[in-house]
Amino acid sequence: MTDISSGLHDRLKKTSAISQLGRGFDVGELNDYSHEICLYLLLKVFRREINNNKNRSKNDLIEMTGHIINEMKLESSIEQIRRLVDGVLYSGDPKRQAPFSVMLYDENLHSHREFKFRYLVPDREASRWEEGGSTVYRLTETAQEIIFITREVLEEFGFDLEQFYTLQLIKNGNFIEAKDSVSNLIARVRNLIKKEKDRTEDILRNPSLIFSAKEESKRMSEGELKEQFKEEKKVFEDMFSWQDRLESFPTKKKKEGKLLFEELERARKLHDKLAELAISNLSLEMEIRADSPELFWKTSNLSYKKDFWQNLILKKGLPDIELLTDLLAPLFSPTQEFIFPLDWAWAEQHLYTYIDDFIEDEEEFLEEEKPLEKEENWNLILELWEGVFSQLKKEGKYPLKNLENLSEEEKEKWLSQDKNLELFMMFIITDIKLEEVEKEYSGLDERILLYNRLIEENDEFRELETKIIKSKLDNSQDLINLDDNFRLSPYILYLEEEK
Amino acid sequence: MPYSREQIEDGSALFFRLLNEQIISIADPLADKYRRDGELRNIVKTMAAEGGLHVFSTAQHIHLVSKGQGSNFANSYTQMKEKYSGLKRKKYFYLANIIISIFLAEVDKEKHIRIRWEEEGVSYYKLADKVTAILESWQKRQEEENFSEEWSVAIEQVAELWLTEFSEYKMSQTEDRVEVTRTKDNRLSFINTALKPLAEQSLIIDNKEELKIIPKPVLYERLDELYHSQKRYKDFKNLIEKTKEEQEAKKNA
Repeated sequence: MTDISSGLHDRLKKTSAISQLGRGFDVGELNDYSHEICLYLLLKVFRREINNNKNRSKNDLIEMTGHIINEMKLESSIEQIRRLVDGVLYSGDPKRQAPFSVMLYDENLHSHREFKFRYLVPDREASRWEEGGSTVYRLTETAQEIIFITREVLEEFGFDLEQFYTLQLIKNGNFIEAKDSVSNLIARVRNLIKKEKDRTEDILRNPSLIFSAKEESKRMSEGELKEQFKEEKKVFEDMFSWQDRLESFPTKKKKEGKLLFEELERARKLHDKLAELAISNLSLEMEIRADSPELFWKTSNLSYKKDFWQNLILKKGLPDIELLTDLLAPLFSPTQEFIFPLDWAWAEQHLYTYIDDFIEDEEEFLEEEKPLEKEENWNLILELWEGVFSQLKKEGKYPLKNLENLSEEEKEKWLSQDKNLELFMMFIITDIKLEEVEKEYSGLDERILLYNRLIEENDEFRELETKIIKSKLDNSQDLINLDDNFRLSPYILYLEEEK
Repeated sequence: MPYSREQIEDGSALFFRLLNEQIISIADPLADKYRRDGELRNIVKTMAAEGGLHVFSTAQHIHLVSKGQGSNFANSYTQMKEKYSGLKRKKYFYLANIIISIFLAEVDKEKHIRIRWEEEGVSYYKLADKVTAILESWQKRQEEENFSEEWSVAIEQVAELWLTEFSEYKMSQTEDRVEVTRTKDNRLSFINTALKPLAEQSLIIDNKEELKIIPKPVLYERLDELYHSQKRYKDFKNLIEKTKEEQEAKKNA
């Protein structure tokens, strides 16, 4: 037999959310009415939410509260109205925008534990913060429960029960009540949709969630889920089958019925959307399970909040405050202009690739449109690179900064060959071991090709055989600027013996 | 290991895109290649490492961030550091760092807790109160704790700036509201300044009208990658130890 105290904590959560509403702040002569005003406000916001009305910003809340007070034939100042709205939004000093918090007895722990809640929270989707929109609010589940409880609909009523309840009301021709009940259905579907959306976000952010045993036991299989949706769909159909009989009702009743079925149609559409979301979440999970089993092993329990900040810095300070920079700098992305080479070269490259693809996919005759690639002049390329390799051979390194000291004419030559840019880039990105090949073949690394052709010209370069060309950034130098279009980071190419 | 020409092209294309856009959606075709091709990942990572940068991917995005020390790239954070580099103005930068740290501690959460309180954002006032409380407690604890000398001196300066020199906030000249962008030498406007690097990189939404700072999912992705890792924690602790040893050595010299 279960203990009488079983579920006490959960019940207390609900009663305290009710008892705190409209309390804990001073609105002078309105103090006696603040609870009812606040509950009325929640109802109004809820109504707008159900009807997809986005006029739920703080200014709207203030306006609604003004209307409520007028309707109640009470006197108020704008300050009092603002205070009432703040009192629904936040606990304590509104500036801090704090949640409500109470200590509630937990029958399992035999001690009190904190329960934090809000009545209204930002509706992220409706707020459009990114476009500078002001915050739009929606009811939390806690606040919705207040509304359900006060309607004597038990919270334990699941979606299916609410559906059957609605069906019964429709059968009895009790359309007005049935419409309220459909509103409830809509609220529940919307809650479930919100939950599925949160779940998508949760999974994407922390995929290991799907491996937790607790989660596992809660989730239905795809088959079960589809079965459930099918059943719910059927109940909707049952309800709609009553629509045909509307004709036999008197006019007033018919009107009520019409409104009811319009509402019901909305509920059905939302329900379809929910089904879609739930199924797509399931397939997302399957995909992650199949593709990224390694996520299972990511189990670090560290956090910035607890480990870096509370236990380390807050408690003991740091040996040097400069260390904060080391801690925080990695949060930020680089946003400086390129100092890596060839971004423009790549832009050009991509245009070619794009056109290539286009031709393949579309029509052959477009080929004529393909930009003419500049003729490669290997004699010129070899002439230029001979200088680079000579210096590598002599000094073991070649700073690209040297390019800047060339005559205008020489610079022109370097810039005239796109191949040069490609070669520089390849040298910068990866290391390469110089090797002689017997015969050139397609797909041969262009750097090896260059090296082999250089050997043909000048036998001395054989000495470089098996050495590795690497690159490093020279932080003491500024950007290399050949002409305004061509800027390079100050890399140094250097030789290393094979290990 | 030799990479194919195509891999090198894709790698550089992705790297330059990242330099341009900082964050790329995983739905991007290039990002998809990156996810599937380990060699391609190596190319991009090597290019990033060369520039003192770090690439990482999450279930939704690929990020490119600074590595901290030794990065060759500037951003609004390094610009802020630059701006306050003079000896007298350094305390502003320290204060900004403390504000960022406190903000992160407010919004960060342990991974498995799914309540979304932290994500709702922090009000300017609440953050200001936290900063005040923490600076005061550090000041008070100066004597009994053994804070390093360098830390104590810096905190003293920062506390003086925040607690004494700054006013709480300033009102707009034209409207009946607190103005945080066009005023200075007050706490709320300095919060705006301190968090600007985060706002400029679209990691937070700085709602200046409602005086609320809202963290975005990409900020959580970075927090997870950077501060929820055992290795980084160890590295940071080692850095602390190393700094301490250097300070000891200097004193004994």
